[in-house]
Amino acid sequence: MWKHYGDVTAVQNLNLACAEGEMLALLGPSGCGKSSTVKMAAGIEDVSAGEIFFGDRPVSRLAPAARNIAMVFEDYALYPHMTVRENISFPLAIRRLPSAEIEARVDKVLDLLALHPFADRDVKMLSGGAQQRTSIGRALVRNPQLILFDEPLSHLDGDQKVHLRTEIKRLQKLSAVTSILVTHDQTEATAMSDRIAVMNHGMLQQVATPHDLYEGPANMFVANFIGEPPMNLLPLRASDGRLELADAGWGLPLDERRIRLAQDVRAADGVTAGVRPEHVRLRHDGGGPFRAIVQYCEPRGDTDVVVVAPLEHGATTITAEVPGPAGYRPEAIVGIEFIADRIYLFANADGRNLESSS
Amino acid sequence: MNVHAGLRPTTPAELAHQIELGNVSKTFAAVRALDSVSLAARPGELLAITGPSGAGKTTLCRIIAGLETPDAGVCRIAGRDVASVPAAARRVAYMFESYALYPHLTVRENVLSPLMAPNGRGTDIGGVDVVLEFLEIRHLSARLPAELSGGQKQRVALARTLVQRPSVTLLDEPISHLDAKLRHKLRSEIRRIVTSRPSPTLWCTPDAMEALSVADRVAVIDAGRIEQIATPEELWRRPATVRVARLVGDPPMNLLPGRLESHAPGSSTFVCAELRIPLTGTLADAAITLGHDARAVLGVRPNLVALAPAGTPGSAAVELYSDEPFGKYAIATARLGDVLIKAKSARSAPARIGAAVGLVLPAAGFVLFDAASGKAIAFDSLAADDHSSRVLKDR
Repeated sequence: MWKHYGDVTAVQNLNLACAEGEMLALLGPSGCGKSSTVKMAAGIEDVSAGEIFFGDRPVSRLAPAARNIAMVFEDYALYPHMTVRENISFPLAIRRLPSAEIEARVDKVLDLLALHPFADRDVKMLSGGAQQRTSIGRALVRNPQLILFDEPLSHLDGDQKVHLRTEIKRLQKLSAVTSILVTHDQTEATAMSDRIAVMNHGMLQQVATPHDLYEGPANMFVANFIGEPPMNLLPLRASDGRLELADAGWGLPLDERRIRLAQDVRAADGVTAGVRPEHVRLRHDGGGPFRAIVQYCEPRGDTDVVVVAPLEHGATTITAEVPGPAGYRPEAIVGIEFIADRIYLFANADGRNLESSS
Repeated sequence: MNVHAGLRPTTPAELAHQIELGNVSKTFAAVRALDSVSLAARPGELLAITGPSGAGKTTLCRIIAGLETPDAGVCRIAGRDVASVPAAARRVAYMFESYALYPHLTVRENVLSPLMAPNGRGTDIGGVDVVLEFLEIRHLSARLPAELSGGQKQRVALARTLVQRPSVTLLDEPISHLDAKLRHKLRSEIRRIVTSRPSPTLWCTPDAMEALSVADRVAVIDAGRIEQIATPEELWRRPATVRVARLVGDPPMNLLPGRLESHAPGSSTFVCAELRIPLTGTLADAAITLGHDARAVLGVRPNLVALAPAGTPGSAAVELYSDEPFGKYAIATARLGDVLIKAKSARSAPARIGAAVGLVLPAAGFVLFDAASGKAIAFDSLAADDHSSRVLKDR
């Protein structure tokens, strides 16, 4: 599938399938093409080239109303003068279904969403979280073939966000409605979806389960985009037949296989090592293979994020995430160690993960 | 309340630059926005104020800035009661949650505006480009606010605050509209700038974890009252009240409602639905003081709770309510009657949603709260590597 706006290509040769009953997230920075993609699926935007199939049925030429899709928007898009029950009944009422059937289906949805206590309240009297649950109820009651969630949590406060994240995931699993979630927030995508399609500059970078995306990023973009704090990306150089961090002079504990992979591409543009912060170990006593100086410590409760600089080469910094509270102080000298089998290698030329392409 | 909790004694020189509120109250119509709030921050200290929206954070800032008058209590800046000092003369650098940018001025002019004001002495024009650069908005210098996104406007307002040399810096939700990566970067940059100043900074945020990550000390405020002022580590390990515990953590501490069975000293049991949790040490001693059959709340952090296959010895049977696998950890929610219990661990839950799983609680790491007052009455300290499970008896 392609989408052009004048000379700008918003979506480039996208091939992507969402399985029946699956929650698939489209994730990427603003301008990555995720919104254009979901608008084409909904029929709000035309497809420039390519086709969209619901099952075997091509739908790209069908009007939005003929696609049996429900949408949940970030601003809820409820009817403010109606009650929760009236809002949820609305899509059924305009189809003139028998009132007994409407009542039964609405009651079922109210149950599922724990909205019974609020059923006869005006929606504008409710919290943001309850309003968004009402909007999800209105989507579910139609038994749609597909629900599109467009940044459903971005208007909510922290705790409501966390609560509704859990609820949406549970409802989607229980109702087994095929769903697509559009978000720029990796935490939401990871928490709520079965698989995540990561997009950048209109191109699909990788589609995988949250776990596989985290463990095996296809390229440097995905590696850096997924994970917070982001993966350390450290340029390598060859010295005396071994690979060391260009900005620190530290030899990396790489196995034979990784060294061979790196040497195959080194001649061209070089290799960057990737180390997730939680795979960096620190030692208060300064012991271990290398030494570094603490620049900054950010307590996060069960972990501490500690930024350190190599002792003799202050030009670069390395971020570690260690079990907390650990009490590291700025200016302290610490020992530092990388967990050998968790080091990633990327080709500088095209950013690809040397292991996933071999 | 000791407003200096966790601080070393103040020297006279430092007193001259600190901010102090004493028993400040403020009521709007029938709403008590601030109820006898006392706190102090020393020069170069970053004090975070955290609490849910409506807790009183913004009112507190507006009183310090001189935009509201307190009904009672005193506000001292640099040791001086500022009741009679007008807002413009207080030299407070205030970043508003609503940004309050001048719509007809460019980004650069907005940032420079406090330096041009009549009271703008002691400001730092040379630092403007440096600040615009690290906030990643220098390329937008010539734009008008209407041409910016929400996150960009927020950074302009932040830049305008950071270029000043004020008596106090007030940051009201300074980074709430930015993405996670930029927030992470700016937390350390802002902290570096404001803690190198000879004046204190108050950073308001509804996100308690943000407060924990940036501040020297954190004041938790709820419904206009200070619940606790403590260092991040103290707040994490020893939350003073149920309200504090409910705010701090991602996800926050599990709070199990239940009652105590205390028949003899040293042998108390906490009962929540079918769970029976034997209490030991300080928890058992505190349980005795509440008395037999007293209502209590037992707190335990999600990273200390584990879910095992149903029927695992030492586990209690619960239902798997939800499962959210993140990259480096997973959060599983279990249901026990009406109570939802979260477990944060390296792996996904060992069951399908709706199926039975075994709940495994730790041997230590609990907080016991008095349900009536909401106050923490005992902490059960946890050795760093102690994750052995506490044996759960079925009723």
